[in-house]
Amino acid sequence: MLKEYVYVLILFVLAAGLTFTLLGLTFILGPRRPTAQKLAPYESGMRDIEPPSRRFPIKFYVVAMLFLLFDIEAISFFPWAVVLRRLHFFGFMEIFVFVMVLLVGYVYAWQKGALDWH
Amino acid sequence: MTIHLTAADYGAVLPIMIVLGGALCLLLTDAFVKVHETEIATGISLATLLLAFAASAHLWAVNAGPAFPQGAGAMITGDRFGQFFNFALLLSSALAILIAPPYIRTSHFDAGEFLSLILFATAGMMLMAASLNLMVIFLSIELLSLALYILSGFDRNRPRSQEAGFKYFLLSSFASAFLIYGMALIYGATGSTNLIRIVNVLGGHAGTVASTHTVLSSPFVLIGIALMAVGFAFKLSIVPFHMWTPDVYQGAPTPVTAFMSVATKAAVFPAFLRVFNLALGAESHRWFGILWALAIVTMIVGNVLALSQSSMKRLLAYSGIAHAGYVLVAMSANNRLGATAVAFYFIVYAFMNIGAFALVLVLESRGEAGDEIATYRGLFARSPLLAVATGVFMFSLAGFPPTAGFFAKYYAFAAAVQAGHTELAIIGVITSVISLGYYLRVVVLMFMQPVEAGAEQVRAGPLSDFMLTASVAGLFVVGLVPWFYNLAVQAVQSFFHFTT
Amino acid sequence: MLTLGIAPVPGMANELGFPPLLTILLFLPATAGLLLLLLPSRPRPEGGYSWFPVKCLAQTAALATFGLSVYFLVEFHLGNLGRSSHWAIQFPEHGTWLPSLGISYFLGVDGLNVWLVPLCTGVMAVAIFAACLMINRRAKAFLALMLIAETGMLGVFLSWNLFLFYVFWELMLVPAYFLVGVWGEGRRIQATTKFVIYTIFGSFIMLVAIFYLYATTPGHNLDFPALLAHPPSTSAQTWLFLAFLLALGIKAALFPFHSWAPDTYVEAPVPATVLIASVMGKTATFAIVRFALPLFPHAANQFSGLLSILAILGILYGATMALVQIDIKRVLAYSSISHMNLILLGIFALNQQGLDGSILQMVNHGVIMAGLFIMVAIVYARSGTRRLDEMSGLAKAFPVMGGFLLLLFLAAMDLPGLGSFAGEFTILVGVFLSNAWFATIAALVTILAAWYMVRWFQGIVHGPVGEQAPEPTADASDEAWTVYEFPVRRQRLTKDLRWIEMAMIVPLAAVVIWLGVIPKPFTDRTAPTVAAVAGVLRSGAHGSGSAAGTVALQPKRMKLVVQVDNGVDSSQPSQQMPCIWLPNLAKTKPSLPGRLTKRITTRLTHQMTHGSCQ
Repeated sequence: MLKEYVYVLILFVLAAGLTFTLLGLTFILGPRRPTAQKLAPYESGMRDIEPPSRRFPIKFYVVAMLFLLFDIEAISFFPWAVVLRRLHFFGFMEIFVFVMVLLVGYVYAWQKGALDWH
Repeated sequence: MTIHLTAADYGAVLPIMIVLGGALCLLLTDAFVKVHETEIATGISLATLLLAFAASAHLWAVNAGPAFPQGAGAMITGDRFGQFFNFALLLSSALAILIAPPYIRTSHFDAGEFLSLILFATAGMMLMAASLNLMVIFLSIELLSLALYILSGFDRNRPRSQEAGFKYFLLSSFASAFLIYGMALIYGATGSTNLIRIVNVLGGHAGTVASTHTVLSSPFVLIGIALMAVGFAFKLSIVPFHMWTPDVYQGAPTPVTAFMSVATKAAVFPAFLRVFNLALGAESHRWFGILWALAIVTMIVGNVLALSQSSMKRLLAYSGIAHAGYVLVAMSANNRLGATAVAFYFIVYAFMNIGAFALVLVLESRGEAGDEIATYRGLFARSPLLAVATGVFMFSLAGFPPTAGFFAKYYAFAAAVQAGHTELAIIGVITSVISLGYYLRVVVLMFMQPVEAGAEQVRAGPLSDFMLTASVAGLFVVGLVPWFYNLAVQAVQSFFHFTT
Repeated sequence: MLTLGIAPVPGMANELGFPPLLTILLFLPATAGLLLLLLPSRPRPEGGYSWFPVKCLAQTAALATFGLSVYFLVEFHLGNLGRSSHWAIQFPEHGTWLPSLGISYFLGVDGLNVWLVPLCTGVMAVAIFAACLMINRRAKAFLALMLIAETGMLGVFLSWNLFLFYVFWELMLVPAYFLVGVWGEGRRIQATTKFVIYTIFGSFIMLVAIFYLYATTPGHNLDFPALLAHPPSTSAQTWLFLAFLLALGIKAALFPFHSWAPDTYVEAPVPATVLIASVMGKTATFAIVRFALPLFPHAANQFSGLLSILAILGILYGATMALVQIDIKRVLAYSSISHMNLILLGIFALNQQGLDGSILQMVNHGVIMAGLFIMVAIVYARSGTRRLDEMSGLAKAFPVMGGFLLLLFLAAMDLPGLGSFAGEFTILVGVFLSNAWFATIAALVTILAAWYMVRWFQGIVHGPVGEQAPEPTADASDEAWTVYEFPVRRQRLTKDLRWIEMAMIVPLAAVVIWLGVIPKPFTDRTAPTVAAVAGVLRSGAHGSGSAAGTVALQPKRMKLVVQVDNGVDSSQPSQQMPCIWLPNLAKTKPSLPGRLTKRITTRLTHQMTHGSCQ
């Protein structure tokens, strides 16, 4: 039974080996010229030290959640597309129902004003 | 790979699909309808439940055969056992929705959102009652929990409600981890997540020859059983995994508490039975000790801690813990009568427990401190119907004949005695005597204490009146008319037949 | 009309008959009670409500139930007195309910309940009349609860299925709980809570015993004949018997479990006191004879000595406590406990005479206690107090009332010629036959009974006419709820016994005299069944623990017959009792006090109670 997992093990070893090799090569070969800006935690210009409990606009959360939801559900189309030919009409109906559910969620979010920025 | 689905397969999921469809309709209603929103949403959700009930009843009539119609590889089943719990789940959902509208209005809830979440939870529960696969059980437990997390914290302006939602979320996801780990170990030991395959590997009730897997993976099975028991016990608020129950019940909006106090258990127990009594039936010598101890501790702790409560919702939470203990007694009997008792219990429990919450709800909808038991003083003078109905619920919860609560308890304990565990029945009845201490306290306050001067009359509203009358009538009819018990017997026949 | 099940139990008639008279009798009161609740209550212009229609309906229902119960008394088939081995269930009504759990709907009449059913309905008719007179606050609910409780008690008397029995056993508790808790006096809530917790504790333990019987009886049948045919093993019997005795002993106020009783009797409103003390207590003593003794004969024999000692202690305790009470209602409460323990003592003698006397005494005690408690209310309506030291001279002020009080007082003191003498005497004979020492002690204790009753009677009746206490104030608080209100005004009465009050007392007094003078119709009906119970118990004493009984169906007259094999050769003439009523002294070993009183006993019994016996 465990024999089937040997390939997984090989994969792990290969992946780890590749990672360490590449990181090690950059560490050894790469040039380093540090400046104050480069050593800062955020290179984007944000200040390092701030009061932690600063309120963040809720709109970002809504957008992030909607993005996650629809993105993940869009990903579900890929496995479906792979086996679509073999699923025939059943597959079509399944994805139809799926899209309808998505659509209801979309309409709901729209009507509730989740898509309005202001 | 070609998927062949028959009409029976679609039939098995039809009640669940109807409930999900209803929930989606509610979302659209919520998005577009602006006037009389509560009335329309309540109407749609009740119609959905009725339709699902009809579908479930049809499925019951069609699947008259004792075996699972979907065959051994199925993920879910439309057998009578599942349908019977569907009846209980739809019933408790409908009862909770019947009493909810005044509360929704007072608390300024979004009716469509609120009720659709209840329907989503109901759908998850129905899926759980029908599942034949460990993965489906996990999926459905997450589906119902997700909806319940939001519902518990739905009253987001009230800190207690926030606390309830958050506490439930954290502890419940912790318990889910136990459950999935246990499932993984069982899968590792048996090579399948399908309950029927697991039976074939481990050997069923009849003692079919177990393969060598059992011997080799023995510790896996044992640890898997223990971890899954923890996961299920948490959802059923069984001591010592009950800590969240009083806080969540008290903090959550009262209709949600009423709903989840019954429906969660009515959903988890069939899955619990399917996993332990069916799939792990051959391993009963291993899990019996665990359930035996849990049942005893649960009955004692639940009843004793309920004695000192001054909040009705906390009191009912502890009473719910105690009742989970009684059902656990029936389940650990691991016989036909025990499974019948579990099934029968939830039809009864839906009526009496949600009914008991109705009192809190009606008073809270009027802006009174309905959760405080002290406000029930002289309630009989203020609202005879409410007081008499609550009195019946209390007597039924305490197990007095001729209410159905007595019959439910009778079957549960009789199953334990039949299985040779008289000690469980004795502890059960002694803790039932303790339970009189708190149930009768409510009755004494309502009927035997004079009403305070200037207290107003209480009117519950037509839907709540209907719900109360129906529940009281139900408590007498379900117990006294043998038809309901025979229904439970038939439900269990489909369930136990497979193992022999 | 009632189709309660799916499949008939094999070998058992699934018939209710037409008309199902017992079912009608059983559910008539509860149906009337529920109808009462539907009647609208009309507010009176001067405040309160007019309860007249409600009271009329309740009283009619109670009287109709009583009338129907007398029908069974008259139609009861006397059977063959000489054949002690026949235990006939008459007027059986059997419907399947949940056959797989051994639960059936099984009613019937035999010698044990044939008198207790009319006792229940009769006393309840009087109690409901008393309630109509005394209760005006929420009278509708009160009467409805009384009627529902009556159905519960009738169900206990009539059930032949253990589960059905248990359902009714609990059903009668809930109305009693509210009757005491809502309409009671002073410490009513403590009293009623204690009452319920005590009784329910015992009942739940009995429930476990019923589970056990269900699980172990072949065929899972809880019908009495089936249980009788398959007695449990002797070791199981011990525990089952103790579980049953705990439940039934608590309700019957057996000595260490009695402490709920005085509080409940005293705090309850008088009609409810009558209900609980006169009838509900009898359901327990009855159930011991019906179920606990014949189903577990071996254990019954094993524990009869211990239980007899407890009963004697109970008699002594009740009498002593009654002797020192000031409250006239509390004196009666303790005297009731004392008498109930005497009935239990007779039962634990486990022989024909003891059981016969106990059944007779159950009826007597029910009637006398009802009369005395109602008298207390009548006296209280005039005196305004219940304290013995505050009242005197009732005989001079109200001579008619004094006369009735005297009659009931004498009956409670076992005056020969009145009902309770025959009962207590037969009990003592029975105890004597089983254990002469117990009988001697018990007989001595009855002197105490005379003492406290005399003290009670003299305190009320003799002496100069006392000063009248102030009238109850108009804004009567909760404590004054049970002040005797007649007809609706709250004021103290100053006249002698009125005709409407006599209507309660006279029937009870008549029954007391009748049972004392002519007990033969009584014993004719009870004796064959009691003989069968005694036969089962005798066979249990032989240690076999199995009194194999068989059930036969007699199509004629729809009679079920339980054939009891005594375990003794039934062809022996000594087992055949030529005269049931006569103690069979020849069979017993005379002990020291036995030799002294043997002759007197024989002669007295012969003359007093069964003059025509050969």
